[in-house]
Amino acid sequence: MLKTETEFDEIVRVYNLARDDFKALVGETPENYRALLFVNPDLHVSVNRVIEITGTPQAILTAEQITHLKSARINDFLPVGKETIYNSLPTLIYLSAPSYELNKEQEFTLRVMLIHAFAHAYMNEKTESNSPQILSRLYQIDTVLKELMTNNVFQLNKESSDGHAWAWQYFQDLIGVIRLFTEAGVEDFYIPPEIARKYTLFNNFSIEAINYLSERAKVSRKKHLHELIDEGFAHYVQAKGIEYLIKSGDYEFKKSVEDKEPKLPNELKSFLAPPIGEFSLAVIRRLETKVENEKELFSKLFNYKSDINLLEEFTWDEVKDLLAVNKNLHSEGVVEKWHSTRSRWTDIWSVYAYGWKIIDEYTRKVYRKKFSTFGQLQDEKPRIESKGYVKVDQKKVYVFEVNDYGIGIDQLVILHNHMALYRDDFKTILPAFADVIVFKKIGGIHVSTLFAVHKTKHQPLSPYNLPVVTRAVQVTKRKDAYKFDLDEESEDKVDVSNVDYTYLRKLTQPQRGAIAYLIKEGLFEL
Amino acid sequence: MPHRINFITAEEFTDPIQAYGDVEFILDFEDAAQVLRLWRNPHLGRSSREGAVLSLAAKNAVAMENIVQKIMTTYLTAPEEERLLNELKILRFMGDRILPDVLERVNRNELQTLEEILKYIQDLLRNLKYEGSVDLDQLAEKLNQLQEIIDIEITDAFGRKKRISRESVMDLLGKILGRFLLKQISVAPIDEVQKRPRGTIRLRETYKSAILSSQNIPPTSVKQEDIIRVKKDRRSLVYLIVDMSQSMKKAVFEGKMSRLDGALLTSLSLYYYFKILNRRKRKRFDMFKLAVVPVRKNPTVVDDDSKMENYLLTADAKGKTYMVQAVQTAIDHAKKQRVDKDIDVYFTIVTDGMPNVPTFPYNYRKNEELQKYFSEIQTKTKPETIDCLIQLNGIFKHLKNDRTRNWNISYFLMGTESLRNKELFIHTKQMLKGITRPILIDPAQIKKLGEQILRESMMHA
Repeated sequence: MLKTETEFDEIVRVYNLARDDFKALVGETPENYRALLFVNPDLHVSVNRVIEITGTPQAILTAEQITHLKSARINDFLPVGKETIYNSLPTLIYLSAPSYELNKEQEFTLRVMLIHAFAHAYMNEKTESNSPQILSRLYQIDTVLKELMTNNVFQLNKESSDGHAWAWQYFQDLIGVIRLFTEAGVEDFYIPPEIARKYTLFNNFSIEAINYLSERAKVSRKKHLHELIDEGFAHYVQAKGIEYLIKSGDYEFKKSVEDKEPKLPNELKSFLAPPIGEFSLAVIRRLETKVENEKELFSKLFNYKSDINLLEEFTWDEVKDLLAVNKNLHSEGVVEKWHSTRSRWTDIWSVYAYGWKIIDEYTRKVYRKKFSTFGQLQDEKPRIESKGYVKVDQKKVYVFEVNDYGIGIDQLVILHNHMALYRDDFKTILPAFADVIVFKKIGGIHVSTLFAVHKTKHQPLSPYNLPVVTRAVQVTKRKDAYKFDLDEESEDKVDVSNVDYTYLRKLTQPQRGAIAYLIKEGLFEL
Repeated sequence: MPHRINFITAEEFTDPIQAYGDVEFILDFEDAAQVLRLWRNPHLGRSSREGAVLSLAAKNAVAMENIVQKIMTTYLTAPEEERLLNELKILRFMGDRILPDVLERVNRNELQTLEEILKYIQDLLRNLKYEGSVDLDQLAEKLNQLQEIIDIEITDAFGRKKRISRESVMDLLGKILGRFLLKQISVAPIDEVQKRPRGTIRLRETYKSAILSSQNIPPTSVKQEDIIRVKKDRRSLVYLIVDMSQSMKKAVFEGKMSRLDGALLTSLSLYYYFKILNRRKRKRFDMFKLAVVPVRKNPTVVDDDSKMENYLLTADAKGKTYMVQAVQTAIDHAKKQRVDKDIDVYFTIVTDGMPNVPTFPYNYRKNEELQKYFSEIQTKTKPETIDCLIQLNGIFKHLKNDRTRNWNISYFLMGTESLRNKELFIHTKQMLKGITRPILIDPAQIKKLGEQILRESMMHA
């Protein structure tokens, strides 16, 4: 133990320095937080990705998401050293541990990072918003779900003689998919009745998981939108901190000749370059001009419940102005400061412009539509939406629109099973015979996928082992889009004259065309 | 608040991006047949190809999002930044232009082979050339991803999916089937031998002979002469002679599998069975070697991987049964192998009918007894079939009397028990009199075909 203590001596020293800095800057230090330093930086990246995809660090990913992230990791596409702070109470701070012996530059980097993180923690302690409490609750729920899943997979494998190799993935996908459903409030979603609990371990698990997930959805919808305030405050303190540290004379950075700005350590890029920091800092600075002193500024920030309160301090014209001016300012400096001279300016700036576009959309929505909670934002553009169903010879084909990369073909199985179980006789989650059509925009393709399951002769060994037909077609406005010459299979097709489209809603004409094509092409007997 | 430092291990904080359930891939026989069919017919795999386009697109989109984040937040060296920007452009181009087009062409059934897809993309690339600024070599490399589109997706018994390229289908299928067979039966059971300085002892045979000599169960003693050792360095050549005539097309097995499917899968599983077995033995040379001889007009011996692949892809059930010719080809092939005495040749014939094309010239002695048998009975069997049977009988008799090698012959007839009263069975039995006996294979037992063939032909030979 003594050895490790000495190993981390340096880090602990810098940590204490940062706390002193924060006290000097703000007047008080946060007390309710946990900081996790990863020795393995890959783990830090993983946690960061999970938070960005699902919202909490402990949430379960679907197999699809894991596959994509793994492939991105193999190709070295994942962002490293991103600011990873979970704004719950206690605040969770994730950092990659720098080397044990810190040079001056690393010491400065770590000090700034910690000041930034403390600012988040301080805000979470002081704020009137419900955001930190709700994030803590979400964290708890996700931890419980993870435990629940692990234990059930273990038990299921223990009870069965042949071992359910599929169980882990299925439970993972189940939780991932249902989380999406409940969050988006899709009402067609099936929930097994309480009495089903006693029949199998699986039923019991799914009821338990669904209960937790619906609680999670309800709670998360109430969460105040608080990101601008969080980031703004943290960047404000961070900017002050950098100024303070440089003034203290402990650190010296080379100044480029033209302007007088010092060149800060490269590792601070994720704290200094992204548009969100630029914009939120500009908003706070503008607010500062309207109040008398810093104390009032801080108390105002702590009193705001949601981003809308902050933005409403200004007129819409002022907000638009803030966006445009700072975007221009940003575009002038950021490429030279953080990127190699060999890259083309347009290539790099387009990436940042994309970041600004997201902020612009967010501000617009919040300001114009007066959104204050996550639920309102969610309803504006749900990640999954039910479009009703088509009836093909008494068989229902459910139609959805999905704006999420967590649902792939494997996850369609779960969607499918749950749609099929939307009936009275709940027996098992395994084979079932309602089908789904899913609309999805992936990159440049707007695609429509049919997922149909045919009757199985034998009891399948796993929920994935079903005789399935997956067909996909693009949704386009082109006139000849759905007239493919496929005469060779004509004998396979069933007569689909008996198709009832009356239960569909909110669809465009090309989408209807795609549905008709898929039903004609996909619903034949295997 | 007191400050504490705790240490957390990797077990307590597992990586959320990890794959679960990495278990051995288990394929059912029916699934194997399905894969084989997909492999043989690219038209059937369209559903899987469309799925492949979708998953590629989704993977692309996620990669793009991550690269954008990485460019904004991670400090990059100049070459690294260049790489990421290039990748980003390529991915964007793939997502916006190539994949939508490819999907449509897959819908239309226009893109079926790798060559078609690559050619199509090269055309698309010409447009991009004028837009410039993308490293074309790198793009071309990236496009190799698209090979996945013509890949075959296989699902194992638990529904786990695996996408394999067309080149590796045979190897994967063969390994799975071979291992499957190896678990059912072993020609030289490992646990039944005991290694001793003077040779490896076959325990069961030794025990048996000890029982016989001591007339007691359990034997009172094991004498020196009871001990039976494994014959050293003995090699076996196995010829699987598979009927490929018209009648094999019949779908008889469960899951609409035809006799041909069954025969092909069995050939593959036996081929890999011996391959795996040889590897496990770690001898200087292969103890067993399996060659497949398809019964068709110009029979050739399939004895290596590329020939095997070609055979699996092109085999078709058509035409008459050129059994005599196939047997002769196998004999010629076997005779050309080392003229070593310690070599055993196994002929394993799998058929669903009788041969019907006699061969000329024919240089073996015809069996008068059999000729007499056919001339005396009333039969609907065609004279050329009878000719064939007499010729086959002559060949087999000759082999049995050959002192240079050990020739073992086993003869399998595909059909149900009711076949026993039919002419097919009776004639075949008559033809094989004094050589071996015909063995019926129940079509419903296709999974056990390989096992049965091994058991009947190698173990009880």
